[in-house]
Amino acid sequence: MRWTADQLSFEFLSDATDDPVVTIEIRFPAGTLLIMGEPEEQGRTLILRGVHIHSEENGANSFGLVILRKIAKLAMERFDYDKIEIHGTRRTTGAGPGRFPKPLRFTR
Amino acid sequence: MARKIGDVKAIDATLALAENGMKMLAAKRAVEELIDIGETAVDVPLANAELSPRLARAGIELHRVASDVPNIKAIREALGLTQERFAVRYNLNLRSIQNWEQGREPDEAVQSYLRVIARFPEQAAEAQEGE
Repeated sequence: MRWTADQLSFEFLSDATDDPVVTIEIRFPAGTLLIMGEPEEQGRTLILRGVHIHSEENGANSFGLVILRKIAKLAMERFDYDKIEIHGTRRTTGAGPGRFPKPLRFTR
Repeated sequence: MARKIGDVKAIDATLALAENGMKMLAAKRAVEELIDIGETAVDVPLANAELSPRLARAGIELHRVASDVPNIKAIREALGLTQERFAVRYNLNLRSIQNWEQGREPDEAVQSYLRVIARFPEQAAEAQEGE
C-alpha cells in the first residue's frame, strides 16, 4: 500500500476552525479522517494538542499507527516541518477508554 | 447541562455546540470535560430543535437547568409544614421565609436549595443535621 503525496489532500475546514482550534479533513486512498486540535509551532516542529480524530466511514481505531505515520510523513513534506507531535485527549472509545494516549512523535 | 449517554463523537459534538453560540475552544473544553467526568454545563439555546438530536447522535443528552423561581409556599405546604417547622427543619431564617412567601425573590443559591428540598426533602433535612 504505497501512496504518493498527490493522493493525499488536506483541507482546513473554515467553518470548523476558530483560533486556537483547527479542524482538518484529510482524504487519502483508504478513507477520510477529520482531525481537530490546537496547533502550536515550535521551530520546525508542529505540535497538535488536544487532538480528536474521527473517521466517518470507518469505526474507532480503524486507522492504525502505520497509516497515521504515512499521513504525518506526507504532511511534513507538504507543510515543510521536520517533526509532528500529536497529543491526544482522553480516549472516548477503542483501547483503554478514559485514558490519555501517549503522545505520538513523527520525524522525517 | 449536558450528560454523556454513549461513545462521544467529540468533533461532531464540539461543532454542534459551536454552531449554537459557544466559542469553539469553550465548546471543545466542554466536550472534553464531559468525556472526563460524564457531564458538563453548556449555555446553548434549547429552542433549536435540531440541536438535541444532533448531540444525541454524538453521544450527548441535554438537560435544561431550572430557571423558574421555586414557589416556597407550595413546597412547604406540600410537605405539611408550618413556616416555623420549615425554618427549623431546613435551617432557614423564619423572617426570610415570610418575605419570600410574600413575593420577595430568594437569591439564586436559595432557589437551588429550595429545588433540592422540593425534590429530596428527607435528604435535604438530614444534610442540615449537625455532627
